Amino acid sequence: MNCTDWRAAILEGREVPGLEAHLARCVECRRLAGDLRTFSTYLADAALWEEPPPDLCDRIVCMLDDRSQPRLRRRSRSRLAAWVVGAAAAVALFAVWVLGDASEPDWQTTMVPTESTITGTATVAGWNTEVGTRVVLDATLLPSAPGDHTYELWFAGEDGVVSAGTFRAGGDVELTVGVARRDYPTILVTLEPLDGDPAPSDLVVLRSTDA
Amino acid sequence: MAASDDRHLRESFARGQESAIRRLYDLYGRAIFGLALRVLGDRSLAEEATQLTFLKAWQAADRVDPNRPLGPWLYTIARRVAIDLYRRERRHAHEDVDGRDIAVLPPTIEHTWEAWRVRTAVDELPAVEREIIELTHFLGLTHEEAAARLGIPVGTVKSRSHRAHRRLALRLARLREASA
Repeated sequence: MNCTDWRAAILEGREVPGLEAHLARCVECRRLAGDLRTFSTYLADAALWEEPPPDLCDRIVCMLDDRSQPRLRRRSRSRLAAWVVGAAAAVALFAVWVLGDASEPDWQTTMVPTESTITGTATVAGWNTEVGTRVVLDATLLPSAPGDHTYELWFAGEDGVVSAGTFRAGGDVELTVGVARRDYPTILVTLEPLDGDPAPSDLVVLRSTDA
Repeated sequence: MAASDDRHLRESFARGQESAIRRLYDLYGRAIFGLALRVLGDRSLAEEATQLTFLKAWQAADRVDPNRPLGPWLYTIARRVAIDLYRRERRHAHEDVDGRDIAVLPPTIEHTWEAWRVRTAVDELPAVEREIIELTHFLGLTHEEAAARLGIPVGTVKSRSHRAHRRLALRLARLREASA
């Protein structure tokens, strides 16, 4: 038997003749033996074997996919993109002419600076959907967030605040939130330190003007 | 996992690649959920903590030291998220507690690192070996009972068990050295 066999036997809790003699002469195995016996007790712990719900991974993928989209939908200034946007606009105009203006937002608001040291403005257009609200934030006039911070858009109401997502300044950002604006009438943009705290910080940068 | 694999996976994860998110979940999702459940004692809160951990990790993935191993980094985030949720729930349950009370750590936080290491080591085993470990350690079955339950020869159970324990011993020894 080599050291791995002896260690496997300790982990398994197996009584193997010669184990004590091996531990007496092998420093490494002797050092590991205590840990392996501890690990063995964890293997018998019911909490270790708890399984998350089977759809949790899919939910995480969806959540991160939703969050990724705004980064990918920033305004592009390339010539190809300009051509594509021009073509899309022509199609949209034709669709509006034929079908009526289905893309008109349900509401719009201007975001103005608070007493925060960061100055800048933004506009938000919102569409009420069956599952909440889709917003497009034009943040071109907002300076970039400091390196260890990010911006976060919140819907605020009597029941508290709900995050619509984080973003960096410099273009259009599309976000979705699972609440209706009539229940959460105030829209806020905060500056969030990257500290892992899911609650909003006190650094409110912009506030909606129409609530 | 090798350091270069960690770096590649973290970069793909930072870009939001679905395959990278699923790979990271396969490697650490159960350990994150288990840690949160140990701290919070509630499955729905543990689900919330797992989702938040992935969100925080994704937000930070392109800024952390590329040489930092993934496992301990995710453990740190998951532990922090679980503590934050524990305090939030405590605050909601006891509106009148003072700040010192809220600063108290959950009593179950103490052995989460050991449990994390064991769970991630178990999750790296092939499914058939993981099954044997679960049957013999958690359910306390003998090799004969495990063989009867799985409908396979006792010799197969013994060889799988031996291989599984060797793999676990190697993995746990490496983890111990890495965190020493």
